[in-house]
Amino acid sequence: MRKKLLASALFLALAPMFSSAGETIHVYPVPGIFFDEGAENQKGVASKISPEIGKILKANIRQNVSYTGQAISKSFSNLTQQIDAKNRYRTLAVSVQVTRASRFEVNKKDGTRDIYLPLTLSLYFSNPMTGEVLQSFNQTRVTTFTSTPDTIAAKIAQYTQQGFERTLDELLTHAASQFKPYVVEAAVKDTWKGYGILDKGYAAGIGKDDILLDADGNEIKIEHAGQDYAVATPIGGKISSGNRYARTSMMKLSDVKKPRVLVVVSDGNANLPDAVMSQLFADQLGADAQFAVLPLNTNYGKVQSAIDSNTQIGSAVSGQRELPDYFIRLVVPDVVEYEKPTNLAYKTQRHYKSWAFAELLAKNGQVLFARHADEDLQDIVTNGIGIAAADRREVVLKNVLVELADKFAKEVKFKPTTLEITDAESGQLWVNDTAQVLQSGQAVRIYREISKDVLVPTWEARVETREGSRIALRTQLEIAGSPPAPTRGDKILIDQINSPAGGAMRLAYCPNPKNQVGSQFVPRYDELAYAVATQAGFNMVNRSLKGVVERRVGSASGFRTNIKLPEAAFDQCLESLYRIDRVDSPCEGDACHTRYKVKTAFRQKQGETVSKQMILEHTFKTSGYQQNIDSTQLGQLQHAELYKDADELLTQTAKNLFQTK
Amino acid sequence: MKKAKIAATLLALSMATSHQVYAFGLGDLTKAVTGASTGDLAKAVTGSSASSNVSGNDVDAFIQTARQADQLINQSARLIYLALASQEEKAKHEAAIQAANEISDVSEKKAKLDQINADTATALQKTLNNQETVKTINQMNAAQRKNLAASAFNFMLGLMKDKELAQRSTSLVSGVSSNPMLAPKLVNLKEAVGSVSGQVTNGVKIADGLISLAKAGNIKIMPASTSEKPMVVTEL
Repeated sequence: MRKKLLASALFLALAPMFSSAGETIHVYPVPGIFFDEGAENQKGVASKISPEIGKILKANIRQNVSYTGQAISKSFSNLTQQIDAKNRYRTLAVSVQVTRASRFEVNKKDGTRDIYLPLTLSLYFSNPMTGEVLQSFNQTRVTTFTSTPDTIAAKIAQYTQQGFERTLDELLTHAASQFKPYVVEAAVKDTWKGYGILDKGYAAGIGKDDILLDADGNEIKIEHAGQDYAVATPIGGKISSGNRYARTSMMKLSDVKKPRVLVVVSDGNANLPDAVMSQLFADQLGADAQFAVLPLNTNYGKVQSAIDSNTQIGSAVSGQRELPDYFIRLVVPDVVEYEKPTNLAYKTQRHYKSWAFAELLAKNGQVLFARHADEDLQDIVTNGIGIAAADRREVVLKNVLVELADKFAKEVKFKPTTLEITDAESGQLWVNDTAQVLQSGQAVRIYREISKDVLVPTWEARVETREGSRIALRTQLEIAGSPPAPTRGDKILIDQINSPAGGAMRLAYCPNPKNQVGSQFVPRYDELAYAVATQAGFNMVNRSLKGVVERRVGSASGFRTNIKLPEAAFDQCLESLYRIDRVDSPCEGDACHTRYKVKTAFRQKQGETVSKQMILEHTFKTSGYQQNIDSTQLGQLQHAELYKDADELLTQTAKNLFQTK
Repeated sequence: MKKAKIAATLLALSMATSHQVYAFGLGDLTKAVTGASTGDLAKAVTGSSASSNVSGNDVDAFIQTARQADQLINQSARLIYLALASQEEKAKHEAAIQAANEISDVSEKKAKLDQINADTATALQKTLNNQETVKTINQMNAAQRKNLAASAFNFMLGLMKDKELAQRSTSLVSGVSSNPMLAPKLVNLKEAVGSVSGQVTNGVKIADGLISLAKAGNIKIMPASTSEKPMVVTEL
């Protein structure tokens, strides 16, 4: 046993060297610089490129493109300026994208201005044959300078150009140090009912949903990967014994067998580009996380068409790459900030509060894990001099993302579980699920063991009903080829996440348009109530995932051209209402606070009928503030603190409701 | 003005980066410097306040604290410097330290190390005045920020110890001088006093922004928000 472990560990360590021996992987710099201005299919995603700065970068586009080309050639060896039939399987495309280019300024008392120019560049490595984005990098630089108003325009132009070059240099240096591509080559050792069984698995770098190519550009898709074998199906065409397929990968071997996740930002903010937030979250997860995050370039379509028109690649991307089974939806709204006067006339306290939510979702919308976090920054401002607010907003947003990612890295546990089919009759299947792993409505895959320890996925089935520990499923579609119908003894493999959610009742959050009952309005209340509900133990589904993925991932990202996710099915609605009324604002000396009566309610509804509800009430007292506080600032303070308080009361309300029989 | 801004960055860093460091935020610094706190630091340096009755323990404690402060300041100044310096400057600094450590003559070695410490202080002062530094800090990751904040806090702590020590040193020296039993301790004590006042002069150059912010006055701490225990009701 120990020997076997050792051998596989050795194999794991040596595998990439074996497979890439003698293979030179070329790098093709995609001509041009791409601007992330929000694709047409991404309505509502604000561009982080200010027209002014974008114009400067575009006015110098020739210079910038040639600088980019030179900088790439300095950082990478094995460059090629052409992709053709000879090198197309061993060439990765590298493209540079401007993700953020904005400016803001702070007027100073002496008439000068501090100008800040945040610039974020992204670098993407992609496989030009399959359209797969393999790895991405971001680099941010904030150029700051002080200027008198008359010279600002000239200086911005100068510093923007300088900033571009420096950021690009840093980005490339970093990316080059992390650039470790390898080629995995596998042969079809056997075929079975239209499937091909490859002689290599995740130990060599082949994982589920990977696309491999043969020498003629025919694609196969991996349906299942064991340690030392993989099951593939052809994308158009046939798969035959002896055929050899290969793929260039950049994924760490330790990550290959982990479930793959795509991070999608559904609600962003004005300060950090979505791509930067996803990357920050993914980087922070680190190697210990039990899932691997796939890179996403929502503008990949532009890169691919540049490759097509500038090279002799002679092969069209088939657009068959599957989306992963899991998604993380990120909600990172704008920072709430306010300034409080202090007892010292020349000093004020500036507060920045961030709030963020992340949930791990299955393709069918089921919430598998969710957390939210908040962060708080306080600065003392003396005589109006403090740290630039935009800097602080960025810091407080990054902190909250880091905190969320830490929770995900530590708490999300995937446990591979196998269930066996006990009965099968004309499409109806039965399994014993004592551990309550399966959820009704869940789609699962049925596997046939074709030889010892070689499992082939044959059919997709859907969980229909549960009777105690006995689960009924119905077969839906064959995975590929012409597999035999599921029979007794076939297996179901699933990744069980954490402890199973409470009960078979699937709840969807249904926002009530009249959720504000009292006089005080809480912005983004439904988002908060939803976040709380997903962490209370309920078996929740997210009905918005389908739309978010179809809109945000889009067809220009190198995934399937026609993205369709199933509608999330649910049994009952969960809604939340609140009533907050101000009681009074008493002062002691110059220190005041505001008191509120706060009520929050969760209701479970079957159609229009309330089946269960819970209402909690308490009195809340804001923190103290000086009597002379500006009314706008006070409003922000009250909003921020009420949000936090509503969070706590909602959490208790949801907990009580969950425990109510 | 620029300096004050960077100082504020450092301070704010120590408040912002983590909860652990947050506990040592401005409020606590202010309290510690103005002596309003009854915390460990205040106890450590004001253990006995009657100047006429100086005991051997007082002197030992003083010397001990002075050495700690010395170490804290030099080490943290060095760490802050290293966190903010360029690769080239870092390499130069490390080389100088290594060269000094290879000197066999003890007093010469000490002189060399003292000189490096003074150079570091001057370089750090320059770095803190440099506009690039704000950018360096902005680009740090959470761990780097945390380290920098911890160093900044240690620096302030060392400086505060020194400040308290400097205030106490006069009475201590006169107390020791008038007590023949303590005469053997006088040499070490005077040396410690010398290091303390030197540190204060050098350190304040670096930290004037920090310290002036902290010393300028007490910001009244406003009460935090509170909520009552929730109860179940039937109507919204």
